Amino acid sequence: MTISTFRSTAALRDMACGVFFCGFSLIGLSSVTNSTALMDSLNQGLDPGPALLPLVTLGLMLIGGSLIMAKGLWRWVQYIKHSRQSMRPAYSETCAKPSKKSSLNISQHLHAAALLASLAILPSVIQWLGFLPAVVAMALPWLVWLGYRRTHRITQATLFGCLISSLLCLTLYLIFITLLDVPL
Amino acid sequence: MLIESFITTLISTLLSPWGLSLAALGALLGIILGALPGVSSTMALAILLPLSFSMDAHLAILFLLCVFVASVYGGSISAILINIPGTPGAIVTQLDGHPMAKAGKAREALTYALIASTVGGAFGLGLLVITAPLLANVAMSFRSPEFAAVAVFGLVLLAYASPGTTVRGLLVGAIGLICGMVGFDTLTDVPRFTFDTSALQGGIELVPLCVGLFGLGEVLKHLHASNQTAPAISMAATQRTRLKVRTLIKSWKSMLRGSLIGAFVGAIPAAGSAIAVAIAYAQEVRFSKHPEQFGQGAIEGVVAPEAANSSSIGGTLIPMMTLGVPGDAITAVLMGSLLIHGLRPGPMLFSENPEFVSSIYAGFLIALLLTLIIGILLMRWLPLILRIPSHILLIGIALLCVVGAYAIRNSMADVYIMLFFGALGYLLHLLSLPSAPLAFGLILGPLLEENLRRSLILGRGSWDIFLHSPIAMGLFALSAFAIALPLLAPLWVRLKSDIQRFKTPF
Amino acid sequence: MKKQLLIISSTVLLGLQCATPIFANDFPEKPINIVVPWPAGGAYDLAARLIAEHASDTFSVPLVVQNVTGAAGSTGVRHVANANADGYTIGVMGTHAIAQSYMNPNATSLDELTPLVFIGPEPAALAVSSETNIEDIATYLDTLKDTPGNIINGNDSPGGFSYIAASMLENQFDVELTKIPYQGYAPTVSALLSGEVMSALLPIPLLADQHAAGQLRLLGVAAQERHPFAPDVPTFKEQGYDFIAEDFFMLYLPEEVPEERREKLADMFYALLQDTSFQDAASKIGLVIQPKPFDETERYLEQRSDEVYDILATSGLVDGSLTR
Repeated sequence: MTISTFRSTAALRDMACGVFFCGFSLIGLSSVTNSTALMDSLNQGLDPGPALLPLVTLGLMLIGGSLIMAKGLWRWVQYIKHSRQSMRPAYSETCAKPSKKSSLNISQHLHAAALLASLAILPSVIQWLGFLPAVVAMALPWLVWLGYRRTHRITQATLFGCLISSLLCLTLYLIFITLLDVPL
Repeated sequence: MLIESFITTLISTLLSPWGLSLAALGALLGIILGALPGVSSTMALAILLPLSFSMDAHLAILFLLCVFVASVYGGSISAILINIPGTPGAIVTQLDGHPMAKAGKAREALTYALIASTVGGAFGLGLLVITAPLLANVAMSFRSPEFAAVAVFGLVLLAYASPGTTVRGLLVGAIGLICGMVGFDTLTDVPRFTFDTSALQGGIELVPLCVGLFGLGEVLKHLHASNQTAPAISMAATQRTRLKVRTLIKSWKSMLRGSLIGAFVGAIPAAGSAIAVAIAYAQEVRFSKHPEQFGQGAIEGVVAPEAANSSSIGGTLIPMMTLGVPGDAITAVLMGSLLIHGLRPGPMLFSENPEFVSSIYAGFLIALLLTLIIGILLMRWLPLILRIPSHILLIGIALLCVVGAYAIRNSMADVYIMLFFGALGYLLHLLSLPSAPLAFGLILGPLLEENLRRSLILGRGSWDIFLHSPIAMGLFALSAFAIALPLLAPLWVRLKSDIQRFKTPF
Repeated sequence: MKKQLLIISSTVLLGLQCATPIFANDFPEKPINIVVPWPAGGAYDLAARLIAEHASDTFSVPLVVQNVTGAAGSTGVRHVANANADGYTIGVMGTHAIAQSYMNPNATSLDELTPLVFIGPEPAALAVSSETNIEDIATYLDTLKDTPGNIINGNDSPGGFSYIAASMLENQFDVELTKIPYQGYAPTVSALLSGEVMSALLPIPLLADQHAAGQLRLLGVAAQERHPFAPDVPTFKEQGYDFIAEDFFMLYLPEEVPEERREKLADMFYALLQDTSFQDAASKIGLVIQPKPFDETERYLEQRSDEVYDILATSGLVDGSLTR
């Protein structure tokens, strides 16, 4: 079982890596080929031009990405073949294991995405509300929530959250805005 | 004569309480500012520059040198403790420094960094004093073809600097290369990869990228696990560990190699400390007997880049003092402050004002000593940061990332770039891809492209220009050697492991 | 109760709003930001920091220097143009802002800026590497006339001042240089010292010392007068060539700053720039201070932008959407 799960995750990861690299290079290639100024600069004068190296790098990245994807596909095919040949229990086992793991993963991704999102809107909130209120408004819920997850005591988490978020934000304010004159 | 006036200035400064306390203040402020993410050594100097306006010229340069030297060490503190580089020169220190801190060896890592920093700094100073005029000439023979060769060599080394497979490391490095091309092309001002937004026209700076990739990326990674009773950063981290003097002595080779690379790369105008540390780290991994330990808390991985980082200070001062050309942005600020005091560094300084030259040397030495002393004093308190419950630390770091990224250029675009690379860092972690090559690619990419193309224009479109440069050819030969080596090495390793497997069945 | 509070607060707010013009005389009442579009350490930054340092005599509030860098200086200009038009954000600019406004569709147009005070010109000098045998301007030009493109010149990328100065030289004397771009002045000076390029047109403070040490040769100063840092170098004019190429420093505001504030700022900065202790400090670092009052500054900018536009247009660098 361990070998087959390993194989399936490795195959999936390879495919994901391939998609990642190919996607990145395709976005880059579209940006280069859409810019007439860049494409015109090719084969002009002594300078190889600002488009050459991006095209070479992106091309190589596309090839590398496709190779990794192909490797992943090949592994996946091997895995399917292997699991068909072997007994059924092995197959169900491999299915059951990732599902439990993926629920943990989803919660982890949710946390990461939520933090990213709240940080992404933070600058506009700062411009709207001013530095201190905005930063407190962002830090407080997070500290309360994470504190609650640690101890499962809501009042304690809230009290600590209030105290720490105001301390944290005040320190940041003093260092960066009062001391360093950062225009926030 | 130079040495005589050097010693007199040294003693007179050490004996004057005002000069000494000013220097100590500079070192303390330097460490603190350097440790703050988003405040680079350049910014630290620029912020404290006005304070020096009213000082006597000798005191002003002493104060600023202390800030400069201390901020270089300061950058590694945040790199080691919270995995955010305080200054661009500390970007690789964290690759092994932070794993050490997580393994409960924060004090050890900080001490190694401090000692390597002092050794590297002293090495750089020694080189500056002894070989300044000589090295300046060698560094000056670095023209565009040689720069291109340095970048190629760095990129070849980069391939081995990452854990995991070489191909994936290289592909991530290629992403870094592309990121380095975002913004205006350096030679023709044609915008690239800007997607018609003004935010991307400013290009992707190294610091927001590193803050996002290593700082925020790490936060996102650990956020979910912060409820566990044994958090990623354990209580043991602050425990006193006996410093193993023997390990430190054992790493003297790494220190020396790092110092050499740092001083030399620093001496090349416009190269700067970020390139120096990247190359120092990469060569350390490449030529190590245990490359698999890197990224897991290898001492060499802390010591070599830190030594390179500090010795590059001496290096960057060489072109400034002898040619009047600042080696990087930091020396540009330092030079600006000298200008304000009516002192113009350059070829005339040695003949017209030798006293001042020796007072710069003495100031540098004092700065190194004070940084060492203050660093040791702070050592007791610094790792306490790690005792803070991890969820508070994580949110604090996340906020620091945002504010710090903004503070670098006062630009909102940098905040979004930082967030993008935070997400990218998380994605790379999910795909088990290494993230360090991305930063290396960003540093070396523009260096390679700019100089390669400029060489070709200079050579009127012909590649012959590289053949005429012995330095470039030497570097290409070294790169070829580094590529050829792993083709043979696995055979050897496989043979060895086969023998071992044969000896111990299961 | 709540309603009452609301009414009271709104009347207070209204009152405050009406009262603002009366308090306008108190301007400035908080620190003024000077935005420098280049990194710390360069000539623009030094000039701004010097002004900020000497501001305490004429200003009741501190001046704070901010470096907003990137995109060939256009990020900093945009930062100022988008700032509140309350007079608390002032920018420093030079030739780069004019060039960018014609080359880059995303850069701020000059119409969105109000010139405030002209600080001074930064004259360039023609320097040649000591490895060349060129001793004077005549030989330099003859070499170029014999074989066009024979001289390799180090300069900025196309939007930068030293590129524009080199193009001006080409246009004026009808010659052709091989222009090699570098990222900024310091690398150009290194290239000149190492002999990678043969000539460059750069601000004099960067070259004076190396000239004195014999590491490079200054052929002529492209300004009306000789420069105090290199008094032995004659101007182009003295040698019989009518060629002037100078960068400049200028303060500007975002558009639509109230007129009385603009006038007050212009007067205060003009007085500061006339101050002898400031001028002494500036001459020490090689800055030429020749302040112009507001209306002259406006005229100067118009004249310069016509000049720069022509050069960019002949070199084919003006963006298609920005042609006049």
